[in-house]
Amino acid sequence: MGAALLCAPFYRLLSEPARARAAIAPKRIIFWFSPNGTVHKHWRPVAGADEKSFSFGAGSILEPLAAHKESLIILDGLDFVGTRGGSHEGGMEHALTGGGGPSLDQFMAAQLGMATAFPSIELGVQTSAWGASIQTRMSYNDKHQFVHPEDDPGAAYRRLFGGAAAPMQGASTGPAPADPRKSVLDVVRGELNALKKQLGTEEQIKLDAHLDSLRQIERRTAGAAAAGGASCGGTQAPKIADPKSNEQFPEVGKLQMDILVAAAACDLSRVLSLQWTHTVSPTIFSWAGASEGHHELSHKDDSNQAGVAAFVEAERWVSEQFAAFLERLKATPEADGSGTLLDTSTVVWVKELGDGRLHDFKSVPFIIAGGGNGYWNAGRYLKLDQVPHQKLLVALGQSMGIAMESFGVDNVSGALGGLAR
Amino acid sequence: MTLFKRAAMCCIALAAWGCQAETSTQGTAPIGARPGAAANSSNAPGAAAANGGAAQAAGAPADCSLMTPAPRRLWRLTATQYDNTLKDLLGIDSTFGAGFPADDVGVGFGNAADALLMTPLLADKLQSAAEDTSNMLELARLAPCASSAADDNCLREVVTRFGMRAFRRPLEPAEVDTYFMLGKSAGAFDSGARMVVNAMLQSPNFLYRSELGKPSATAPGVFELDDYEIASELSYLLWQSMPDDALFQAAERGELRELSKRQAQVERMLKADRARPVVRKFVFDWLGLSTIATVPKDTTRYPELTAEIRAAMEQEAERFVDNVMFGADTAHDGSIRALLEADTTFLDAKLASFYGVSAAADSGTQLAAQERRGILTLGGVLLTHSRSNDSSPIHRGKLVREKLLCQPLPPPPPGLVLQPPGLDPTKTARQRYAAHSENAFCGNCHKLMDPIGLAFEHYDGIGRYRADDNGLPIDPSGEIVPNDNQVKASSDADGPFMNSAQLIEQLASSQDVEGCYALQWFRFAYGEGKTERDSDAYPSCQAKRFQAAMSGSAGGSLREIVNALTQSDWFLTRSGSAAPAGATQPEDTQPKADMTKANPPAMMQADAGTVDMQAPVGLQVERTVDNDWGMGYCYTYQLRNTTSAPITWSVPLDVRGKMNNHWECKVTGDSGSVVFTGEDHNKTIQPNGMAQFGFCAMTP
Repeated sequence: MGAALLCAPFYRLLSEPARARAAIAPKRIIFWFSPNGTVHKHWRPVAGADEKSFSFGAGSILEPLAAHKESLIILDGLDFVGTRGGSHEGGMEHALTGGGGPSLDQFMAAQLGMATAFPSIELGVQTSAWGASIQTRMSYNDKHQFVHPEDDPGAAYRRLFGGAAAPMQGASTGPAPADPRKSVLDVVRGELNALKKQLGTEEQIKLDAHLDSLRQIERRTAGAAAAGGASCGGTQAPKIADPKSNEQFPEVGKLQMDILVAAAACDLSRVLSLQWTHTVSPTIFSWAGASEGHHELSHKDDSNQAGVAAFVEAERWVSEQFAAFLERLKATPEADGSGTLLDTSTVVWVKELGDGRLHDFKSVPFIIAGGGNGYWNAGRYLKLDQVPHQKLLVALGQSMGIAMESFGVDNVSGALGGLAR
Repeated sequence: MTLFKRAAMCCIALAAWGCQAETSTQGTAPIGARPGAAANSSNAPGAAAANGGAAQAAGAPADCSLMTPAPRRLWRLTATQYDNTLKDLLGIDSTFGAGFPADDVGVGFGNAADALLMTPLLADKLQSAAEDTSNMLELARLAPCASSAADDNCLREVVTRFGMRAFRRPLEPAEVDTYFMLGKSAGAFDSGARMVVNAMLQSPNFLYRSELGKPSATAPGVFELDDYEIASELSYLLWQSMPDDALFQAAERGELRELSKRQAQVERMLKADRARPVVRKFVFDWLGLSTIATVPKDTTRYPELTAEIRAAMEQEAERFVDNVMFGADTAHDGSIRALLEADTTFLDAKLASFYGVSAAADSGTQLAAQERRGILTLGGVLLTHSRSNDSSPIHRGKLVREKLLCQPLPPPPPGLVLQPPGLDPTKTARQRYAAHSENAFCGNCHKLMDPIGLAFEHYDGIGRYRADDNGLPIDPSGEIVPNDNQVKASSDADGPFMNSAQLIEQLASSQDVEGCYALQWFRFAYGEGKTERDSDAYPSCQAKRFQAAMSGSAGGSLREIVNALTQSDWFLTRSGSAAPAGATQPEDTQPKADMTKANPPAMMQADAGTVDMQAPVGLQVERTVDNDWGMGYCYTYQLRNTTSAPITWSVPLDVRGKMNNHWECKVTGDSGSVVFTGEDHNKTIQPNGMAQFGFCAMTP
């Protein structure tokens, strides 16, 4: 299914110029999160004569992205405004919600998700050792309830590519039911609905959340959008002894990136995300030479040169992963021959703080990567002046063909201009 | 002033910061509720966060003279409960729960009833778990007939027998029919029985514990839990699993509403082995010890901290807790004092050598009094409350302040350079952290933590005792200063100390600490701490009441705490506004609509003063506006009987917004037309007598 067909239901909502853009909308969007803000002077590219003629300083955080420079839009000067809380967790909650109810990925999934087996796919790398809280979650549904990432690559693989790998033990004699899964879901749904009636206004949030969750299973069970199946997943289900151990962090990340690329190639969803740990992350990036936790490193002030250097090294490692991810997308063709996954996708690197040392929300670093089916005017370093980052969220929503003028808060409207071709 | 009042007041200031402190480095207990959750008028996490916690706190009455039961609720099994339940239900060693998405951490126990929601990811996993389980099952386990007469009758027996245990209550006839027909649809008995199990394991009746109850015949708005619901309350509190046969039988006999019978069950259950992991889990969740095995540490600085040592530390903590919580004497009675002052621990040879002490055999190792005492000096506690390459006075002080004094701290304000002092071999931690108290911005909060945490400087970043700090002498003296950060909150544990032993003695002797410990148990037991009624900074009336009761003469042993929890009326009732028994349609809330007609909203338009409303003739009603801050308000009503005969009063009001608290009254709802009636002590007003009641509500 091409992008045009996907976006068809939204055509009537769009203004003329928007409609023209929708014809070249990105096929999918992938959110990529890493925590604890940045140190701007080590993050910022070296500006050139114009937006396109920038470069990455030797040893800077983004230098590992040099090979993909022409696919990037580096956004410097987006501020978080309207955060509900301060500090780390305020930023974590705000990064994709813009201060409102759902996060942008879930907002998109609600509108675009019907075309695929999964409305959205959330994968994580060690996001859950501290349980679920606004410190550890970036995705929220329309009721602002947590949407949890899957941290275990093995479980993620089974869910996405296992398909009917564990069928009900079949009826060997007698008339077989058409679809036992559906019959079971019917009973369960019936009970939930009966409870809803019985309870009147009480516990409706829980019952609705349950019914909504079943609806997603039902869609897949109905077969209208069957999960990929083994042929699509490609390789064997990944095995990893302890996806929670600090030492396994790079390996978990690599496997999750593989799964994400495979899920994109199989078109299992148009809205995907990979969340590397969470704000205040204690992960020790020992493979990048660090001996202190990432959050501790993010608080080294400029007088502590060794400390800042260790943080930069850790951040460079994340950049290397981002580059490797883009590389993998580039190496994977679309099934319909429309290009590589990197050509057709938008990838957004999201952070939750500006300068991590200050816990502030000024110039929170964002990067758009990928061709987006030719949507983006990429290869640029944009220096913005205190632009509310909700405008980026709106621009991303519009890029996917969703007619919207604001997101998160009411008092910021319009999209960040000049991003599209 | 009681601790509870102070905690409530605290939120006035703290709510602006979300009533939560940043967990500024690794390994400490994770941050709990989202900002604003304390005050949510909806139980969707964060849904009403914009209303802010401050409003709620400002409107919170300073004390509660009435016990309001929790609302009727469905309480989803946690991952741990799911695994335990499958084990007891089917004898399988379930590890499905370990793969479930992490639940909302709430105030630390991860079991807050309002926050345990179904998600698409979890629903998928539950489906897989149910299918896998039903496929691997030995059918004879479900009903004996399955191995001899696998026919329709047997299928029906499977439905009835397994259903009763899976739903933790007998099935309704209609339910039996539904599941029987489902099983029949599979064709053969074998696949039909598996399908029944599969469906029941995905049923809300299995996945949620019912605390819905039946409407009380006498008290409007009150619902009485039935015996089976009470059986589950007991079993999930004490075993984190389903009731056993004895509990089911007691429920069937209708005994569990009887205090003595219930108490006998509690005594029996506490003695059972499976109470132990539950109590361990309580302590681990409360003190943030679940990351002993995984908390990242600098392997260059601490090469000695192997996975083996971590495992031994985890085991030490478990055995320590077992020993202190389940003994017979007062030193092992599970009280906070026993935990804080225990002098025995359990080390294997490797861990003993890691700590640099000699280990006794299985009977336990006597702690050297000058080096260690009680749970706060346990290796696992110190390891998880440290930085990756150093000790941490901040985290250790924060642990005491938040988890033992129940005084939540705000996160640091934005814009400060927040670099904790680095390693410096020429300075002690006290010298390095001095900047915190010298800088007014930092000191205002850090004086609440650092001077407590410095008491533990004799323990390094991985929990080993050290006589000195890199050759420099250690000064473990400090002080619990009154919490005058934005609000005043002192405790009876405040004061200076010379070393950790004195600090521990100070804490162990404190009634406020005892009350805080009881509060933690209350939240663990009732799934509170993540609701509009109860939060870390704003304990509910019930939480406060329980805390007060347990910090007094009631005693504070584990047995006494559990008995108090299960003896409370709160254990037996829920409040609700739903339709009366038998009603299945929302329309059946018709009586409320009638009241609306009878009592036009205009009656609430009057300001404080005499309000003319449809109350019994001869009842004079006067309203006082206690507070009205735009987003909410609190009203108190004074009633006077102007007749010469007693009046049993009933006052209908139109409640603007959504009520989140009320006192000295019972209510039929929380918004719109609500009928207020008296509690036992004030429902009847003698001639010329007075009574009063009140409530607070949030407005949208």
